Amino acid sequence: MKTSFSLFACFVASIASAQTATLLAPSANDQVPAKLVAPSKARDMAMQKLDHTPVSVAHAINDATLDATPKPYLAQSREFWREVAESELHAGVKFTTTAAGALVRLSPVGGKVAALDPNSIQLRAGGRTLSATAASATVADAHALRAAGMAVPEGTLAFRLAAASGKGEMVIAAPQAQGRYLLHVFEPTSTLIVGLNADRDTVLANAPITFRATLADGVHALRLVSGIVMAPDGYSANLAFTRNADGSFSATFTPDAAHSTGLQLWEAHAITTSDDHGLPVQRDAKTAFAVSEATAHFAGTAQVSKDAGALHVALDIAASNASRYQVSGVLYGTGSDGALHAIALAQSAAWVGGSTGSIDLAYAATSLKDMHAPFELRDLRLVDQASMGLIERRSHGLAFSN
Amino acid sequence: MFRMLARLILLLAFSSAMAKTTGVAFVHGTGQQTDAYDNYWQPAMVNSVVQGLSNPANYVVINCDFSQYMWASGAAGCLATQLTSFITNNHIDDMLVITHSDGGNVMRWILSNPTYDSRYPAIIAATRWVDAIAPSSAGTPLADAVMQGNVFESSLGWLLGYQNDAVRQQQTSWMAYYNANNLLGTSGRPALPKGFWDIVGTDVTYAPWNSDAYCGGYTLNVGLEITKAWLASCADGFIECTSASAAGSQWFYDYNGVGGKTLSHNQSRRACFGLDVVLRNDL
Repeated sequence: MKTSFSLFACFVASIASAQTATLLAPSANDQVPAKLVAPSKARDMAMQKLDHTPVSVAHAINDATLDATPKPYLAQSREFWREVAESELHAGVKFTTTAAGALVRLSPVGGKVAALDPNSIQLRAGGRTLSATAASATVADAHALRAAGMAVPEGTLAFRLAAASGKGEMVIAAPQAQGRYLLHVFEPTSTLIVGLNADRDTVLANAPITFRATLADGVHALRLVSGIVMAPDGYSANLAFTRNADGSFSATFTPDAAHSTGLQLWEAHAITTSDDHGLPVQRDAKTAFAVSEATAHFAGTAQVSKDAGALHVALDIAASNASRYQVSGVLYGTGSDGALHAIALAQSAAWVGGSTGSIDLAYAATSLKDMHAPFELRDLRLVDQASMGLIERRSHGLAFSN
Repeated sequence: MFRMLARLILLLAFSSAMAKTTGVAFVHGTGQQTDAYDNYWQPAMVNSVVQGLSNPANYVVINCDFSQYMWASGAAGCLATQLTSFITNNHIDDMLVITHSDGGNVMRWILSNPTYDSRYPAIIAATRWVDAIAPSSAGTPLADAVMQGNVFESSLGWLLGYQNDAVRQQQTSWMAYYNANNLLGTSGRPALPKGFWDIVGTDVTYAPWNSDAYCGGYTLNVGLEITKAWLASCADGFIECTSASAAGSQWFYDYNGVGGKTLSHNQSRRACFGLDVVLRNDL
């Protein structure tokens, strides 16, 4: 049902008769910095724009399906990209499809704009040679694709092969090609799907993150996997994938925060090869992850108090240097049924000027109605607003009874 | 049904309280706009919707640079500036926000991060709810398709923004990260502080003999025929239904809201098939 939530905003209140509570032990999926580090230069620049005024807000929530356990994204690929030179396109570029109806896109790269005529592009498959126009159910140029919102380069040509064009080994040739092109082949109905995921969605700088490429259709197997990681500043590094006993491939990488830029993400790319009836099939997959700097962490204690019926949880922070830090947490309380229920999400940000500080989460008295102890603070997070990097995350942060 | 009930509850609440000053804000999607009234929404859409206001002058059409990341000063910062001016100058205390496509992500950034910018809490407080038309809440595979090429180009292309940052942000893996860490309202995450009601486009009509293909401009729908092939079967040509439904609550699928018609991604920002009347009646 559509409801109107109240938003409470207040400045950090003085805490009367606070009781000290200790953070719960972290769980396996939590992110807890082992030690603090000095911030990077990029973060220093962003810090100059930060507001010093503390803000604390909360809104009621009544969702019973919250899940504070991070779940890294699983990318699934039925496609590949390959950069080809004009000489290759003149001679013909070979590739394999595993299902009929593939989408083929050719985009000029490197700033050159050399649009191709679909009537001049030849597609050889199943012993026949047809023009792209004749072999396709649909053809679209850059103008049409851009009008549809697809931000393709000038000169792009895309076509969807007709079902009659079949599958298997194909050769695409463009005698009029000039310069370099990106060949992108997507097979919407293929069952050969390569997955790629990281073992976490956020990693602290100088800590390892592992990527895993899988092909689990029970028919095909990954033969070769290579890859790269790309940082927001353009830095890239090779990923050394090795085969696991189950046929998947894994690679581990340790990022350097010097290449991070605010909330922009890093990417891991896997370029894979497998076989389909003896023909090589390429699949490329990518996923994203964030790299944070451990410029602060929860000190392990909190002061819990009530002020005019509102509940305050002041989290103690230890920091490597001054910044504006943001704390958030979902308060759970015990209902009349004796079970814990989500009550409200509180978010607070404040300037921590020294090596230690405290940030107060405030839950309004109205949101506590019909709820009683014991309380829990879940999905507890600490963010450095200089980078918006997620520094610490605990699925179960605090339990208290007052 | 839920939405109608909720609307009734809010109306009852308002009638028992002081009179509210209602206004509506139109928030465009990806790209830099300087005249979104004419170029993005078009007058037929805006002028029809605002007839639902007691004072039809209480509206603002946002013009920002949504080629930037949602949190950037040119995106959420610009949106906050224009919404704050609208709220202040028109004494708006009951604001409905109508977003399209990536505009939903920029508005969701504001709703999700009240401590990031000192103007956000007042904007959130003034907002009744958001009508999110075809929001790219979980990104779009089309963004993945055009961004992947950068890996094979020079790193300079990546660095200098061969594609704009908003396209990069709307890659599915990127939006998965932001939904899990920086945005509220998706499955498993805390709810947004205000309602976020999704209008979901399910298909594209592009056959030249079908008059429905011409609403919003036929040429704009032609490209959607092939872009739809990159997407799941339920999609508006740019956004998959699962993405448009990923955050907040579903208001309606197009065919349930506009007389059995479907709304392509271009049609859902235009006065097509009575969508403008549906939005008008929601005010």
